[in-house]
Amino acid sequence: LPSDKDAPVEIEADSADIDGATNTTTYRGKVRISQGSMELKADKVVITFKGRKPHILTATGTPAKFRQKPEQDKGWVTGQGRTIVYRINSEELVLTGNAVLTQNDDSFRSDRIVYDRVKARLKAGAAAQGSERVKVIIHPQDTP
Amino acid sequence: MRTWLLLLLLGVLGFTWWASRPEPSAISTTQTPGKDVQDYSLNGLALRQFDIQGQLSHRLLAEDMQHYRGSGLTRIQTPEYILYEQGSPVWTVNAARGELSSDQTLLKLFGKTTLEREADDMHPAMRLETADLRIYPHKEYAETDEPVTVTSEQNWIKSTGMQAWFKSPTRILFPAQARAHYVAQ
Repeated sequence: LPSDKDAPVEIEADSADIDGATNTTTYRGKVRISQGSMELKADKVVITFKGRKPHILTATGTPAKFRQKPEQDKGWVTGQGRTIVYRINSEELVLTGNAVLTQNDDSFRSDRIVYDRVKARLKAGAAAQGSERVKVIIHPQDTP
Repeated sequence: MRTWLLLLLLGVLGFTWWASRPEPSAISTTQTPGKDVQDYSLNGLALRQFDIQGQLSHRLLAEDMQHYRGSGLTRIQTPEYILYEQGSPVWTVNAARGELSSDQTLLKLFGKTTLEREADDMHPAMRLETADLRIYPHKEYAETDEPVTVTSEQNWIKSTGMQAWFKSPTRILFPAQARAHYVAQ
């Protein structure tokens, strides 16, 4: 939801590790993160701080998964990948490693997907390794 | 007659034995084996420790302190333990009661215990609340198995247990049941 980015970030995990050297906090073990309607599940999440605020969440899992409601009356957007990088202020989610993004029945597969949560828009391809393979499955709407 | 004399003699012997017997109550007050005897106490303790460069590194303050001869333990009331490190924020630890081991390598803090770190350019101030903390001064390390709550501005982390390495760059590990709340904006 548009209000998601202003909501507090709630985290549950098996353990947490505050590291002053890297100015990060790492959560490990069945990590569950929620912020408004956005939910994320991963094996490990590293939070990088900018100054004193949480700035970037880097989630890794087998796979890491997220879901979110773009609008109250719309279906869930779900995504997964070996890594999900969530920039808290810029509202951008970057999924890499067998990335899949699904909304309603449409799904996008690529090595790298960049999803803009505010505009509910995505950019697939342009993977870190340079492969541009994208697989798109769009189910035509049933005409009345 | 002789029987009577014999009886008299036994009576005198018995009385003499009874009268010379040491008083049982006297034994217990002077020395009970195993009882840790307090050999001295202090009010208004202020202990300061300096590093090799002569910089103040630790301070231990307490209202009262009792030292025990047998165990070598020092029991402390309302201890305040302060950790200094050049160029890094000061850590201040407060507790209800404490116990310093005889070789001063372990400071046990009992009851409600708070750890507070000042803010610096990079980090906001931080406050940790827990109980029954074990501090190893020479390692500048502390640990507890009790629940811990960390607050820093509007953010918090709750966990069961903690391991903290105070020396900069600080590191704090929350080994179980970690929950956190961050204000994003």
